Amino acid sequence: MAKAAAPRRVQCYLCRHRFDVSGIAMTVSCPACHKPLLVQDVVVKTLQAVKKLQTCGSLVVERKGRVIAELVEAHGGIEVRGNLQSKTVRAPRIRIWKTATWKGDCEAAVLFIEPGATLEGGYFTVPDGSLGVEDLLAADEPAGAGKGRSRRPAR
Amino acid sequence: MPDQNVATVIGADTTIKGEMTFESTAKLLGTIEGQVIAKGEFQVADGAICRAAVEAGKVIIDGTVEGNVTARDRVELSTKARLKGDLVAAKLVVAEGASFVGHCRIGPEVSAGSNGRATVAEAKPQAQAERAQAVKK
Repeated sequence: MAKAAAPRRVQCYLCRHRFDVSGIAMTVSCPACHKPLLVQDVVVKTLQAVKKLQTCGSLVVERKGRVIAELVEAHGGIEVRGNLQSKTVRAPRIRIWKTATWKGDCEAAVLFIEPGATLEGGYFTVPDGSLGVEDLLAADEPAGAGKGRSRRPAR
Repeated sequence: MPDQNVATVIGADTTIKGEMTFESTAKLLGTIEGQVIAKGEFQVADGAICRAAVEAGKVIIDGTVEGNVTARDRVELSTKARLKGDLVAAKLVVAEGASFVGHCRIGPEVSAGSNGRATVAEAKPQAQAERAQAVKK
């Protein structure tokens, strides 16, 4: 029988409430604002053109991936290897790889940019206090697909 | 022992106001207010404060910079760096923990086609024009 994944702590991207969810949960309802939330990690390998791309997990834009959106928010962190084009990008940790192309405003607590990345304009706010993720960041490891899943909640 | 690669060092107890031009590399340990133009490398050391518009070939920031930064080659923000101002460069390296508030344009074509300052201001109209073209299509 498969071993159950450990629960993890997430933050609602709508009301900023923090709560624990099952490690295998993909969507949940926020106990505070009762809105449906996406908590799974998102990996973009092709074109994804949406109005809002929000998740409590992490977002990885692969090298051939392209995201065009108005708002991109991932409370587990964002890694960009491909193309990310958004009005606002918000995450506690953002890593822009050398192969990445970025366009849009950036709000992050921690930003990492590799030499060679192309940034086609945008207003950067680093660190950004509006996320309210200081204590999450302290216990957090660097952003990456699936890495956040192993995190145990603080009890 | 003094750094052999640095031609000019502005000491920690020094405050300079005005426009400064360096022919080669300069390292700031103190405070500068005004404008800095360096043909080579300009380093802002940990604890140094630069309230100036900076134009240089390469800019390495360990301290605090308040002003627009333009680099023909690259800008490096270390863990302790604090930058408040617009940034234009061919390459940008940001270490985890660095603080940066301002507009940013990075890429080889950004620095090649300009002498820097104008490109940040041009960013918005260009984006708006692209959007308008997309709407027409």
